[in-house]
Amino acid sequence: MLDALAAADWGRTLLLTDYNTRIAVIGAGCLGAAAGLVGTFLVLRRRALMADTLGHSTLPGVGLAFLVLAAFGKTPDALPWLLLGAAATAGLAAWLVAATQRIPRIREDAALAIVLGVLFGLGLAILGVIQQLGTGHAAGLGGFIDGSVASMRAQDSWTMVVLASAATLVTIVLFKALTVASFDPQQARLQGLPVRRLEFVQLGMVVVVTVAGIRAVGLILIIALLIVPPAAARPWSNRLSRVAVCAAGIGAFSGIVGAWISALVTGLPTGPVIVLVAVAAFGFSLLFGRARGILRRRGHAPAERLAH
Amino acid sequence: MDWSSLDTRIVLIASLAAIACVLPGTFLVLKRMSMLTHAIAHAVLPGLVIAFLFVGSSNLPGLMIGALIAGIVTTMLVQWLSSKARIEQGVATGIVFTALFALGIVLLRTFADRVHLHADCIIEGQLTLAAARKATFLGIELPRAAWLLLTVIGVNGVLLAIFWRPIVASVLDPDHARLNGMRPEWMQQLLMVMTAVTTIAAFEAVGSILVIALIVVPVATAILLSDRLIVVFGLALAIGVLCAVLGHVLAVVVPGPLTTALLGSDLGGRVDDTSSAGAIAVTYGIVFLLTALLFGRDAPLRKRLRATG
Repeated sequence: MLDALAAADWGRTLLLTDYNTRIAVIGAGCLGAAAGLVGTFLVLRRRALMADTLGHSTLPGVGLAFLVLAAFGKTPDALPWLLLGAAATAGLAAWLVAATQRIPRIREDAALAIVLGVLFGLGLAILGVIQQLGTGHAAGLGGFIDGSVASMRAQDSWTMVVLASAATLVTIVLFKALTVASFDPQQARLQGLPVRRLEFVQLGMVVVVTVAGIRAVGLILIIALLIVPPAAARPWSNRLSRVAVCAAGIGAFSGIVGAWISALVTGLPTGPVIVLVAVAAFGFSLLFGRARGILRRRGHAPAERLAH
Repeated sequence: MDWSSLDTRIVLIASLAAIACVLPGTFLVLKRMSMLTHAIAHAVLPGLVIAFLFVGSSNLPGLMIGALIAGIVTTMLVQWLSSKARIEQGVATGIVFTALFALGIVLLRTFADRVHLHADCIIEGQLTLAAARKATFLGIELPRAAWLLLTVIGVNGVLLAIFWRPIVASVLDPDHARLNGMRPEWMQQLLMVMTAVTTIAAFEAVGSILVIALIVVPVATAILLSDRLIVVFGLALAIGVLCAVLGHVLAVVVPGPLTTALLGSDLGGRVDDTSSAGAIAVTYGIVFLLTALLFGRDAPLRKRLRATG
């Protein structure tokens, strides 16, 4: 069924000669690496599902930013502004979860669920309003729920690269301090580390990665990018630094391969394909991982804990 | 506002969804498994799509069975990963539901010409659409979604009535229940099946993401007001229904004047109403917040009154 033109198109995509696609695939790789690295600490602190709440909480922020831009008569599809709105409500969500948990009798799981449901509902209500404004561009907002690389312009991809690189850089610079603070807050405090502030920075990086990823991966599946690579890296080593590097590698691999496949096959959504690649890597690691893989585990040796 | 028969049907469906969600919701919140509902609501998608390919859209029981199998597979996978593969429960939940949801979306796009499910409808819910689709049963004409929810409420209600004691015992104190010859594991499985069925029935109306608000927030609000399980149960039902009605009214009344005030009449004048499902979730949030701050047993206002009086 492939005629000559389509074959040429296909070859071009395969080799990434199309500028927009190439930048988007590279961007997805940067995003995956950053998410793997930042996610390692999130998983270490046992706050995996926080990423789910933060991801869903970006929706009202995107909608509000859109409304503000529309009110000032600007073109309301300027990605950086929408992402700024997303970051604002995701940050608010992190604070709300902490505040809700402090209410007596409300536990962490309920706090996460309440904030997620209510803020996403607010987002849907705002989107409902936007759809009736009829200012055009509104259709593009649906892309934040689903995620799609195909519709990204080069500048959108660059925004993603910059945000992901910033999160990677901050995490690398603070790696030692974050490690001590996550493993043993008491010890960290004795060493004079600002434990609260480090926790704040760490959640901030999760927000940055989330916001960077919602355009390409979608806000529902962004949690997968943050937790699947670290979980896939864990069976390979018992040392945190190696797990972190491995998670970044698996994240980058998933981002690149996933975005590339979805660019090749028309109609395949980007976010889900990236997630499925990462999950395949997770399944492989779970079986064959050198340190804790199921097939490599000898007898009933006690599970070694993660160390510095 | 002009109240039409469509509004009545929307409110009816939303209230029934709220009632259906509170039945398993009470126990899920007490068992600290609130986020699992969110996982199930996403993970049923591939089951739904595959069932759709085999039995078609008109076969509701077939679709329910497909989704139910996916829901059960989800809970089993999460349990297997956390016990056998030693992965923390939150991580295991996150991996399983995102993997299944991603698979579901890919299937949906691949068979888009044969499966007439719309991803947006599943994620966001279409109350208006659900209210328009009617079905007649026993000579009574109601929205199809209402019949579905009534069936689920009936089945779950009967199951709860029969197994009330063992379920309550298993949730509040599993070890004690085991000593008394009960099977907490079985009760947990029963609860999971009830949750999956409820989730599937409710998300046609309110969407897969707002189901979590319906299941968790009324119960969390009720917990702030009472310590007795049966009272919590009753309060959650009442809060669920009241907020569903109030939420829809707000969705119709607020957006027009609010956007006109904020954006000016030439932009804001075009806005009539907004997503009822979204507004209902926000209403739940506001009621929860007010309860936590003002009326709850440990609310700051109550404490101050107690200190001064």
